Amino acid sequence: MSYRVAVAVALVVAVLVLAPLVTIGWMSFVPDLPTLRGPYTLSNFSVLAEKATYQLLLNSVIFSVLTLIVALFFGFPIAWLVERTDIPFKLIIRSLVGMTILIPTFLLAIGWVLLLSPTIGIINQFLTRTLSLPFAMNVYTMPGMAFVQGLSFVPIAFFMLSAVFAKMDPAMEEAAYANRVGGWQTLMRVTVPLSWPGLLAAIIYMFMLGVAVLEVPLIVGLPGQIHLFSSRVFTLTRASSSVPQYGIVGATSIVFLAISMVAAYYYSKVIRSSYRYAVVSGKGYRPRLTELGSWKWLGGAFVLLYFVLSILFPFSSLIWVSLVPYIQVPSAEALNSVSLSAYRYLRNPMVVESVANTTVLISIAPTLVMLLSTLISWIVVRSTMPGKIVLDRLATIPLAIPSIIIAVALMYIALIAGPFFPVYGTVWILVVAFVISHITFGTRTLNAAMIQIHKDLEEAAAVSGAPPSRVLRRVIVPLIWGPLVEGWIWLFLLSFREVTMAATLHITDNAVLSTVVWILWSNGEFDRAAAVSVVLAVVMGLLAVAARLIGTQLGTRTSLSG
Amino acid sequence: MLSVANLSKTYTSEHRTHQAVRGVSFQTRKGEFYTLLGPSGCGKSTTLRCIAGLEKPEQGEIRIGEKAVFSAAQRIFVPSHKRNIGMVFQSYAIWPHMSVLDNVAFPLVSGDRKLTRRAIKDRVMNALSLVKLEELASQPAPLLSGGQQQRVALARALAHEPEVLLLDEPLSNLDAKLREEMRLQIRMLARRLDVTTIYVTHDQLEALQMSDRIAVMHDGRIVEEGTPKQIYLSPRAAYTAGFVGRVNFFEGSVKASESEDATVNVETPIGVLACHVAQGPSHSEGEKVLVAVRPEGISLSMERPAQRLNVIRGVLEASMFAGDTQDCIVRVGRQEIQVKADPLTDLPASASVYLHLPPARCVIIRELAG
Repeated sequence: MSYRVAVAVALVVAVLVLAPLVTIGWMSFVPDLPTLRGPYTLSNFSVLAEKATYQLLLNSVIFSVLTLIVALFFGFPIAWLVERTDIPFKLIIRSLVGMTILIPTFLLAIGWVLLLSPTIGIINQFLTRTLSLPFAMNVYTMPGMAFVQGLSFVPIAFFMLSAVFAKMDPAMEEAAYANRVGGWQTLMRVTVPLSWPGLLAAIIYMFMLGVAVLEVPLIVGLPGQIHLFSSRVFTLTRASSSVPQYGIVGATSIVFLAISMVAAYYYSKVIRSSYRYAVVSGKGYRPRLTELGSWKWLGGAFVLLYFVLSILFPFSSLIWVSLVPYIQVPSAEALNSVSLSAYRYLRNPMVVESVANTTVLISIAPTLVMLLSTLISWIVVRSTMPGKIVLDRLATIPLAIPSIIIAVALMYIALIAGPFFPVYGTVWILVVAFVISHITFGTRTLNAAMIQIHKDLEEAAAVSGAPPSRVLRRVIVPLIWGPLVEGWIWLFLLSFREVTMAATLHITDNAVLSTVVWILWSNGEFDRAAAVSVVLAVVMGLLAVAARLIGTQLGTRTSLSG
Repeated sequence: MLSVANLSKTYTSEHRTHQAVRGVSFQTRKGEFYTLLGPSGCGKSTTLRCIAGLEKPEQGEIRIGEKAVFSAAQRIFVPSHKRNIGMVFQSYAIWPHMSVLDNVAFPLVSGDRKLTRRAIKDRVMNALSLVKLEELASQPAPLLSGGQQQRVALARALAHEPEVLLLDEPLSNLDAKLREEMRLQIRMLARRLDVTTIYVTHDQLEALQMSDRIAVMHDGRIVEEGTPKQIYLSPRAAYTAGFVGRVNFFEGSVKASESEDATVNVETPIGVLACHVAQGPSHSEGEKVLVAVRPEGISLSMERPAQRLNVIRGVLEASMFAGDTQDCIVRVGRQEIQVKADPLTDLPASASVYLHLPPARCVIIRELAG
């Protein structure tokens, strides 16, 4: 790779990654509306002296901790059951959990609010009116929020812990059995301690995600007057009530970024040390499976419970609400009022436009991420460029920046640097935000792929007279084609369900499908919101299946290189 | 043709710096088969990679033909893809996502060379026929055996008729029989195409059989350079004698040099040895030297041989039958001597034997350090 290209790539990455951080710092010194000219002030930092600020941060932390408890409550046993016991239908369980990772969290949140809102929730209506019970469940509480968010984190917990269980050397457990230690004792005293580094990594990772998520705090938290950092940033930057208070947002975000960076630091540290624990066995090894016997049914019921709570309940309620004129308990009478009228809203210009915007986002953003990541990974893994390690570190920083902060920072840049960065209110600002927040994923994926390509394959091309650009095109890209396509598909699906940045950056013309749901929902148009949600979920499902098929097709091209 | 002057290359990692090549210089003629021979870590591969442009040395100069492709003084560094070279890697580095044909055609369609489709195809088939693989042209590369991949790599390196062919331990991943076959093939091919070849290996037999000239490398330097015969039969460095084949060393000092048949007498612990002297600086009386004698250069007999010079009596310590020879250890005084004996000779344990060390096989090495 020519030196100039490498430097250009490094510069682009540095700008993309550092711009949000610099901007957050900058805006914390600016008193009112975005400007490049002074005066500057320290007054924004007075927010750090307010008790309310720390209440926000505390709420975020409590929410995040409760969330990960819920996620582990389901994720840990399911991962153990699938990897380490003889529970039946493993493949189906694994693919279904894989599907749930794609369910946009806000659909889950809306589904559960429709079920458990103290006033209109279908379950609560059933409890209080049909059964005439004197109490109702309230989702608009901290545990309610954590329950919904926790459900959406279960797949993350599941996959991170599955990897841990799958890697563990069965001899460790067998040694315990052989020394007459019972099954339960072995689980608690051998299996759990051995999986601790992996478990810790999962906990820190989910904690980082938990303090940064926006959807549940917005949909469940705001009506319940429970304010978190992320929802506060969102409302402060909306001009609906008063002037957007970017200065305050900046000052608060700095504290928040600090927390996030510390967590990210420990995360990377744990990840590195966990390699020492992992005992990877050679080929043909089969983990010893615990025989569940009659406990099989209990395990199966537990897994089923998760699917009922994360798929069946919320989606049934979404479908039901999209079909009836007002939210009511299903009954013979209610069935008479079923109609598809809410779905007529799909012809609304805003929806049509959002489809166009969504198409731009999901086709271009993943492509840009993978292109940029290919270049970065190539430089980091293969070049002898001095300072390439800096580039690698730069690419991991976005992991530690909550996506809402990236969104706010980009909005701010667009406002003060309009002529140079004319993306305010367009879908392109969303594309840029998505690229920044997913560079880490792209480079981690491709670093791993590129390390496996023998260096000689590249050098053979160079001595054959191929300039670097041709080596990349004809040798590297074909050889990492599988991971490249898989990474692209994953980002394609993620961008489709992306809502945090989409809602934050939404002005008027740049709505994507997920933003439309949010707008309808906040306007109280529940049936329409539900209708668009159902469509969104169906399209998501179809895209996932299509992507899988296309992925397998494209993937076979490289299967020979295996 | 190829000239390398005062080449130095240091690797720096977080933990240490390692000077892999320390001032290597050599020149080859057009069409010469030149081998860099040495143990792993001696800098031979690094030297080759510097010639290929895969490593950037700190010092020295490399010229291919008239053109300097690297010069520290003139700040020239021509990248690999602009050097007119072909290279075969130890791992073959056959691209698994391409067919055999595409692999061999790659150097022809890369870079500045503009050839018609027809011409490319002709040259690919020509290169494949050199290595007798025409019928496999359309095969996907991963389906080939190790030996076939090796030949594809060779065809690929030769397809664009490079000025210099670089071979980095190309035979070390093949099994013994195939290796022997390929030695001959590569040697004949290089001679037929008259391409200057730099061959890197740690296998002394390969080096002796294939090369026009050998450079023995040790610790980043060229210890000795010469034809295979010179390197094997009259090494000038103890390291060369020890690395290339097995050898017995006798420390000694030069006695009054009566120049009878161009020999010099050396007083050694096993007695006075008359040693053949090649032309070169003469030896002064009392000079400390090392005498190197290869095991197969010594003849063993049960009865006293007729020769007058260099006959020594010893005791047979051990013998091992090895098919084409018997490997024996004979004790003379406190010195143990390795000898290859005729496989038909009956060798009773602890027998008293006679050794004859012909002066022509006794090589004087000046340096005493092993």
